[in-house]
Amino acid sequence: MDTFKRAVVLLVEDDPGDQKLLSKALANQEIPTELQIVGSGEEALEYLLRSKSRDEQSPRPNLILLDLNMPGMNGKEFLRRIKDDVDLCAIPVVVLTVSEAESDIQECYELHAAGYIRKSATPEEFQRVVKTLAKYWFATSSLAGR
Amino acid sequence: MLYFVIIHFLRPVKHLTAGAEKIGKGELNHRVEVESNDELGYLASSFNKMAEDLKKTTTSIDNLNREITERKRAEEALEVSNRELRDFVYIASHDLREPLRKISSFGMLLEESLGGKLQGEDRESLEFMIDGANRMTQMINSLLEYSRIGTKEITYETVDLNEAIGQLEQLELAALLEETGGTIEIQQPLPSVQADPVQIRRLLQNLITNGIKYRSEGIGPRIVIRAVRKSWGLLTEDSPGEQTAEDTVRIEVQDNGIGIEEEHHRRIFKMFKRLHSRDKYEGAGIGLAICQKIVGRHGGRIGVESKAGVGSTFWFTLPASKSLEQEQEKLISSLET
Amino acid sequence: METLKEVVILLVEDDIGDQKLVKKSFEREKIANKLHIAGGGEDAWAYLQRSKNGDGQTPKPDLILLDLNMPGIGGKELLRRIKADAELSAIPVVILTTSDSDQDILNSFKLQASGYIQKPVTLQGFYEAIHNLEEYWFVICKQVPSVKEAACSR
Repeated sequence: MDTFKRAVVLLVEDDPGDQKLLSKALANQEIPTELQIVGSGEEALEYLLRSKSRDEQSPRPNLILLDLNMPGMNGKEFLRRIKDDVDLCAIPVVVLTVSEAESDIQECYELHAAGYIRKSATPEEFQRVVKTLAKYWFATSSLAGR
Repeated sequence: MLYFVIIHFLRPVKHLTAGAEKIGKGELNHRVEVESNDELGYLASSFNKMAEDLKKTTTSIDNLNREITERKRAEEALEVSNRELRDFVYIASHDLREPLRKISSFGMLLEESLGGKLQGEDRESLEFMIDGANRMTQMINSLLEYSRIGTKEITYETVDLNEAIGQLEQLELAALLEETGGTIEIQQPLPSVQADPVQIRRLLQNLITNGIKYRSEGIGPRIVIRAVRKSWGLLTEDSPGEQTAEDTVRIEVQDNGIGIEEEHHRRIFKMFKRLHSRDKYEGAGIGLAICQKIVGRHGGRIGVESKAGVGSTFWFTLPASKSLEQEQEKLISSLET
Repeated sequence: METLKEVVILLVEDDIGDQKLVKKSFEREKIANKLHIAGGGEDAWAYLQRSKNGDGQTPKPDLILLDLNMPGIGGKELLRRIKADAELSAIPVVILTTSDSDQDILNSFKLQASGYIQKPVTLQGFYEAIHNLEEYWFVICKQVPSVKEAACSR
């Protein structure tokens, strides 16, 4: 286990404001991570395909953060496709979305999401959320490929 | 008269022809008779000599092939044995660590639940127990790491030492550097080496950690790292299996710590050998043994220059990483000769 | 960020000592929790089947903590079964094991484990791990509705 390698996080998020919020919050954490951002499900799939061929610019993520409401391919469809791939299904996907709809929550867990987080109302709350997320995934849990 | 002359020449030529055919079929022991003192006789002698040389060469080739096959078989057996050893060490260390974890965890649980009720000697007893378990766990971890260096295959890569040290500063050594106010200085950019990146990282980490750990009282630890490139191999009498690579790099890790007396310079690289009590400086005493093993596996050497009270300079050698241009130059110049 | 009245955790662990350590750790947490302990894969599976009936005695867990190295139905097999069961597959399963093998980690995530925790060596480490686990699953994450419903009907 090469624990000195930074954990690679892939953020699938179309809103530039949210992209920035998460980027800052992650940078503040004790555990250094490498954040890759894509703006849609399609881009995410392309990125993951590139990562399969060990493209240096597209390192394979250890964790995926996924927004549900995006133009084009929606989050659930992306989640379904990822989990269908025998190789990519090993990457845990955490849903990070505004929706609180029970049907969304139920469906995501049934599609094997490894967490469902509602986007916080305030930046302070969001900092706390990201801190807990980072501690769980990068300190407490081991990740495949790290 | 003519008939006589013809016979005189024809017969030896016939023998030579037949001889050549026989040799061609593999009967390398065949020789022709040397019947006369003239050119034909000379030809026959040469033919026999050639046959003899051919036989010798073929025998050498056969021997070589046999040796190669035996070597291959031995390598395969070694690989299997290595794997078995690796698995054994892994399982053994894992199983050994489990009961220790219990002793340590429940010892602490006991401490917690007894809280203030446990006083003086009783409290001490419990602490010794927990401490013992923790130390043993450390030793097993170190042994496991040490054994892995020997059994795991080295993956050679071009390792940028500057980057490796930078990463160590940011990750593994960050806390220690902050606590002690330590600094790491790289005087001039270090050359790259051909080595296993994980092991080299460990090597650097251990040496730098030692430099910081054994610091002088009241003085902030200062580590200086530099490189000396040699274009000849280092050959000394007491170093069998010496690296005779054309390009070796000598890296020096210098500290301003407490230093080491001359008489201990060889001892410190041995397993579990410590010069100080555990109260003053913690550690299992395996860091340098691991360093030595890593360097040895890469075909290099390791040593120390130090005076008590002045600080130490640990040095090690590794094969240099040739840049692509250097490789190309070499190839071109060798083709031109 | 609301939380359930009481979260239910199913621990599948054969080692008595580790059962105790997990129990101790959860007792320290402020969030009300009920820890059910199954000593092996068979026990756990039986519990989970009973939990489908929605009776108060064997509530569906909000989270399953699963050891890998157990005799009989091992952790890996149990994980496979849970994720293959339509009524149980949505329950997050977090591996809690001594194994640090890359293969075990990869296989667990491939089988859709939602976390892989190597049992910490120190007591404090254990407390911290369980605390982080709780904060993540019960404070910042939303609960699985189908499980929550069952919980509300208790």
